[in-house]
This record gives sequence, structure tokens and C-alpha cells, in this order.
Amino acid sequence: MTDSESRATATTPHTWRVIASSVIGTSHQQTGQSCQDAFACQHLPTGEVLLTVADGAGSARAAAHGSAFSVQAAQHFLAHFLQEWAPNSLEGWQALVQATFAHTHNALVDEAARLEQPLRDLATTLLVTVLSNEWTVIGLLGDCAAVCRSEEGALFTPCRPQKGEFANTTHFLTEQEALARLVIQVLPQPMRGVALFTDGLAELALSTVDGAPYSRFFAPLFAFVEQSGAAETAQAQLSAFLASERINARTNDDKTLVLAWRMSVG
Amino acid sequence: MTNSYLDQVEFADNPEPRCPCVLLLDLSSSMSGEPIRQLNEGLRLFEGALQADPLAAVRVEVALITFGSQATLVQDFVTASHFRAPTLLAAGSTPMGAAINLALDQLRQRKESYRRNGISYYRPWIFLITDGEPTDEWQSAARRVQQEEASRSVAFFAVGVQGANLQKLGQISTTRTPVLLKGLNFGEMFLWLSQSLTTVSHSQVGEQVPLPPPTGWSAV
Repeated sequence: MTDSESRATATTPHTWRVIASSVIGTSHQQTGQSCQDAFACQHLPTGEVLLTVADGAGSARAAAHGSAFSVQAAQHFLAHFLQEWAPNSLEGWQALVQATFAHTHNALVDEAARLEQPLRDLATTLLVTVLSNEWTVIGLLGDCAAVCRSEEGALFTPCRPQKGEFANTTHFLTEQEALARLVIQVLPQPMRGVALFTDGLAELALSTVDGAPYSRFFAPLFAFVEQSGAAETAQAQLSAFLASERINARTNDDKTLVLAWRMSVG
Repeated sequence: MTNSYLDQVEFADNPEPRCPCVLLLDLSSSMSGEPIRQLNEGLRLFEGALQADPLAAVRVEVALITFGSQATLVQDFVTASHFRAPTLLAAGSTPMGAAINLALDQLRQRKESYRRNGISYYRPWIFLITDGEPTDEWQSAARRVQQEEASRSVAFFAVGVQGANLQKLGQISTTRTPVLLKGLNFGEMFLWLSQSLTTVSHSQVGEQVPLPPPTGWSAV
């Protein structure tokens, strides 16, 4: 990371509007389990937005803790770092994402030791993004997914969910070779919209054949963010949507959706 | 708490993930009479139980291979909603090795077809039922089963009906100890199988599914 620049508080003509929600799946509801998805959003004083999503493994005993802990560890590391220094190159961002995942993996190892639990009990996937006015940065391990909408209106999937051979398998941050499986995308331009979601929504939002985003899924969602009013109302509406009958008819998994839209100011 | 934009959201129309299961049924002449009658009855229960569950009906895929005079693909993979239990007749010897090889070949082809069409799938099952022992070369088939079990490509279950050589079955199915059927309780066995497949077809990403114990139909 040689291309450094000192941080000045950005005077930005844009601002990111973020609406996010996480809703428990009907299968976990029936068995009295908690929602094993987690997410976090943070607007930094320097202008970037950090968005993080994680999905605890259904087979892991402390999955809900693993996902929540990982989200916090990743966000904290990135926020702390970016307050001092922001990369200004593709390589710089890649190195920062790698460091974030390495830090979060190590933090999980320590947390498992503190809890005196096997590491696999905290198994979780992790998706981290940094959105700025110059960069779109995404790191993914596991079967969450990110979809971007460019300034010109093109919809694309920069990171497809990582699947194992079988329908009920993926890769987790707790695995030994986790960091080797990390996929990083750094785009040297800002997006107009970004959507992050856990695998509970993947079948509804992406083609399983080629991973292409389904535009009739995303277009109304981005319009919803752009036109939304009070943040609390919008979040309640998104939660109601994620808990709706028509979504539950298609998935019984936990589902998390983080929507970000870059608003013009003034 | 509705929103007019959110009401407009439509969902991608992706194919359901599939849970393939091959039934490998022994039709040697010793199965004739009451055993084959009970087996046919059990298959009809299996058909009905899978179709009663809306998710299992579209996600579980059944193929049927019999071995009597020869190993025969009686039913290629169909979703449970389209599966119709046949009425089987017993005759001939026990070419179990050829039948196992045929099952593994069919599964391999099926997986390729899933991959080509972007269909995700669960770990396939092979469910073998026999009342005897192989009368053909079976050692190479056993090695294949063990390799595919080791790489977790397939889950192989063997059930012996009274008279089956459980010791030899144990040399084929080394990961899971073969189970001896209690009497001719095919009905309970097929209900257990449909219930287990239904559980798998409902399972989440990353989930290890605990199967119900084979009580009620297995002799300990």
C-alpha cells in the first residue's frame, strides 16, 4: 500500500442513502432459533459508506453470534483504518480488503478461544463493501451476493455467491483456507446503487444459471430507496416486505437486504 | 406497512434445487410372492408421501433401477410429482454389481445435466434393497461406492431383507452399516425414506440434516 494520501474531510456533492433490514426465516422461526444473518452500515466522516453482511452457518451452534461478531469486527477494522488513510489504487484497496478479512478471521479465532468453543461453531460467510465517490470496493467469502447499478443504469453482479457442489454447501470465514477463497472486486468508479443480500434472497434476485441480476427485482427496490421518506418508515416497509407471504412462499431461510443509493445533493 | 414500489418487486424464476435419489431394488426370484407384493405396496406409499409435501414433490427426483435377470433402468429421474410407482415382478438372479454401476453412471449424468442448466442440487442418495447377495462381479462397484462416499459425492444406504448377506453388503456400504428390514415392513421403510428426503429438500444452505432413526422398520 504505497499510494497513500492524507485524509481530508470530503466536501461531497453526493450522499449515500442506505435502507437495510434482516428478517428471520420461517424455518428458524418454527424451530425457535434466532436469525443467523447480521448486517451493519456506517457513514464515515470522510464520506465513505461501509456496508457489511454476514450469514451464520445453519450447522454452526453459535451461528448468530459468529455472523454478528464478524460484521462488527470487519466494520470496526475498516472504519478505524479509513479514518487515518484511504487507498488510492486498485492494489491498495485489494490489500485493505485482504487485511480486513484476515483481521476478522483472527478475531473469530480469538473469540472462539474466549468462548471455549470450536471455531466451526462460529462459522459464517462475510460480504464487505466500501462505497465512496471514487471507488466501489467489494470483498466476498461465501454465498452472500452484491449487485451494482452503474451511473449509466447497467445492472451487474460483481461477486457471484460462492457455492459448493451441493445446494446446501458454501465456504465459511472459519475455514483454514478461507482467505484463499476470498474474492475481491475493486471498481475505480462510484455506483449509483448497490444491493447486498444473503443467500436466502439469491434465488429470487439472481439467475442461478449465469448469476445475472433480475432487473424486475432490483429496479423497484432502487426506486424505493431513491423515493423513500423518513428512514424509520422506510426500514419498517423493507422489513414488512422481507417478512411478506410472497417472499416466504419462495424461501424459508433468513433474509437480509442492504440497499444503498447515491443521492445527488442540491 | 406496504409501499407501492416494493409491491412491484418481481422474483427471478429459477429452477428448484433437486434432491436426486436412486432406488436400487432386488427382483431376484427369491423376492417373489409376499416380499414383492409388500415392496410394490411400499413404493406406492413412497409416491404418495413425497407428493403430499409441496416442496419435496418438486425437489426430490426419483430414479428406479431393478436387478433380477439384469440391471435395468425402469424409471429415469423424474420429480416426485411425476413419479408413478410401478408394479414390479420378481425373476432371475442378483446382478447387484451391474446395478450399482448403472446407478452411479446415471447419477453422474444427472449431475452434469443439473450443472448445464444451472440447477443446484443436494447430495444424491442411493438406496439399495436386497434379499440375497451379488451373483455378478461386485468388487469394482463396491470400490466406486467407497470412493464416492469418501468424496461425499453420494450417500449410499443398504437395506437387507430376511435372507440377505449382510456381511457382504457391509463390504459394499462401509460408511453406513447396512440395516436389516424387520419382517417385510417395506411400508414403514419407504415412509421413513420419504420423510428423510423431505427433510433434506427443506434444508438450508450449510445445514447438516439429522435423519430420523430407522425405528419401526429395522431389526436391531
